[in-house]
Amino acid sequence: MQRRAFLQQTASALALTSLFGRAAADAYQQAFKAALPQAPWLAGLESVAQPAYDTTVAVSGRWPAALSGTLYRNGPARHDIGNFRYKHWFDGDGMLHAYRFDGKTLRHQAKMVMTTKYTEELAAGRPLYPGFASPVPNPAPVSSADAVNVANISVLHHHDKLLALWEAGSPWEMNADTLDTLGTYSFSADTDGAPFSAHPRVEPDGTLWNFGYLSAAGLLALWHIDAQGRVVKVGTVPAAPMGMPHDFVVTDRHIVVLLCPLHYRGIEGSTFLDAHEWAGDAPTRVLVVDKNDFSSYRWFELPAQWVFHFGNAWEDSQGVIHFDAARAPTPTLMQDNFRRYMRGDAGEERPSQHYSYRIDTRQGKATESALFEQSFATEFPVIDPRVSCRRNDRLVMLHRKATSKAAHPMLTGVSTYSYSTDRLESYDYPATVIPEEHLYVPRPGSAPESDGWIVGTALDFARLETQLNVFDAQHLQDGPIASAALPYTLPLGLHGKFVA
Amino acid sequence: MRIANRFRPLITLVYGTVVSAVAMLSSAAQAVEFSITIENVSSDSGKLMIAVGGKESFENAEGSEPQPKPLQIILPARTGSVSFTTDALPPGEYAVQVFHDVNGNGELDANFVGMPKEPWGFSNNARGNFGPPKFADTKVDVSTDTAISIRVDK
Ligand SMILES: [Fe+2]
Repeated sequence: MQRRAFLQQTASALALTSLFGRAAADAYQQAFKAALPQAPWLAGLESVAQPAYDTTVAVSGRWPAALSGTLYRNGPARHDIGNFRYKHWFDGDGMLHAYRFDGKTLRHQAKMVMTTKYTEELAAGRPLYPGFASPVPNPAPVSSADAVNVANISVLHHHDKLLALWEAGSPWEMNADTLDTLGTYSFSADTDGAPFSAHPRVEPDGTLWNFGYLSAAGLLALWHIDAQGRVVKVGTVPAAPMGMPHDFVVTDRHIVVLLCPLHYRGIEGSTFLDAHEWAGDAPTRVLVVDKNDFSSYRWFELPAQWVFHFGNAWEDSQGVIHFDAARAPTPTLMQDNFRRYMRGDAGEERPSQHYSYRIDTRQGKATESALFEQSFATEFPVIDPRVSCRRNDRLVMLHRKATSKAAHPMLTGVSTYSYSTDRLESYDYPATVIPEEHLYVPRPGSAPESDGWIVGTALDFARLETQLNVFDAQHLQDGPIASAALPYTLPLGLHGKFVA
Repeated sequence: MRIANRFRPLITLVYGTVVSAVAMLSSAAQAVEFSITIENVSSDSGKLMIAVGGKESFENAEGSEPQPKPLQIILPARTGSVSFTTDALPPGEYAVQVFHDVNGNGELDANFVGMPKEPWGFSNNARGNFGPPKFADTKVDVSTDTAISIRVDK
């Protein structure tokens, strides 16, 4: 009964959205502008004020002498084109940021990723191509995924290349010093233009694994790249067109991809997001592929669920794969809330809960259990990159507590967890600050997971500044030990990478 | 958002079994002249691989060899534009598909997920959405003598 009501609600919300989108292209823009004065957190969803930044500010607090380098970040930044506003948070064109710090100052540099789409639309002064979830008036035909690639999800620094990543097409190569866009990046002629997802997993030795979702084709692409950026092998696995997988995990032996029951139904006459339909009574399909042989794979099942992000994975001597993820019961956050945000409406809270998973490859069984209480919502799980694809003890993530008094609907703080001690430590930001992804930055020369910092950006919408905060990873709950504030706000972004 | 499977019809349709234009000849008495110019040819290397077919050929091409077989024409590539005229077809509605087989291996080269790496085009210069266009978007009325041009592009 509940599910039925939910489905009806979703269906009518989608229908309304698309009518709304067609009837008045800038109704979202008007609604957003009207809502902003009463809901200052929406500063995080305004279009970026400038196409480029280069600002240096002083740092405050006890900035660790050993902590210097660059935090590169990416995220949707241009949400409006003239009087047209995108209808979904994920449609915004990507902007690449570099936060460079040396202990004394913080230099913030940023530039829009000059994708084909952004460049053409800038020249035309109007949207030309349909977005991920935004219909546009009189759209031009889309002959390839890269024609609508907005390079807005994450960033990868690998074999001395800086790549801005989307998930349905090519990486965009950026100049690491100037942040100028160099063009789409091709690992080899045979892989040119193939989908390269935004969450590649990089092993401690630099070996890189990734996947790509080819919805209509019923294929998952798999990538194996060595530390020098050479393609070791690529392949495809036949997979029902479902799930819109965004992230995955890798152990020392296997690749694991969850295909949640968000079924692809065909894109004719709709947007890519609306081409997918949630089937809450269908299972999540779990693909386990042999890293050494992409033609060797098995399928497992889990209950219906929605996952954007995984923490890490490892495999024990009994053939059991262990991994963790921020798990939501449905993709409603993406289907509904992230549209509402664009018209200045927070919508209902849709917390995701952290889960642990076991895939017993000998018994042929996948199981799941909640790691934390439901009142403790998590997202953006990360680990010490030196234990990627190996057994990890520590987890760093953003959280939101059910008791939160935050003046916004987003995540509210940062936490660390140790499996071995079962200890959870949290820092809650002030009610008018929205944290973005926080990364674990190892202290140079330290043993994995032993010593380091947690570094992340946050939007303070009361002071109208974007800040960068540094925590001692061993004493997170004491709050930031050092920080720096920019004299402006930036649109809320997605993922980053620290480069020492 | 992806192309792979939807490009297979293109590959199959153009590259099923090669049938000569002569074999395709139906009753010449009814034939019309259909002139096709391929534009934006980027080099002299390789061949232009052209297929002309009706709705059935087009739609039966999904995942198998098209039936009935389309008229298939192979021309040497020449930088700029290349034209030809055929009178091998009875009057009707046709779609034209062409690709520039730059390396002359007889195939539309694709990356590992099936997306074309060589220039291609359809009648009406239809590009489709995330894959080849539909017959309805590519069809040309050839009930009388007709001339069209098609741009090939990656
Ligand atoms: Fe992500």
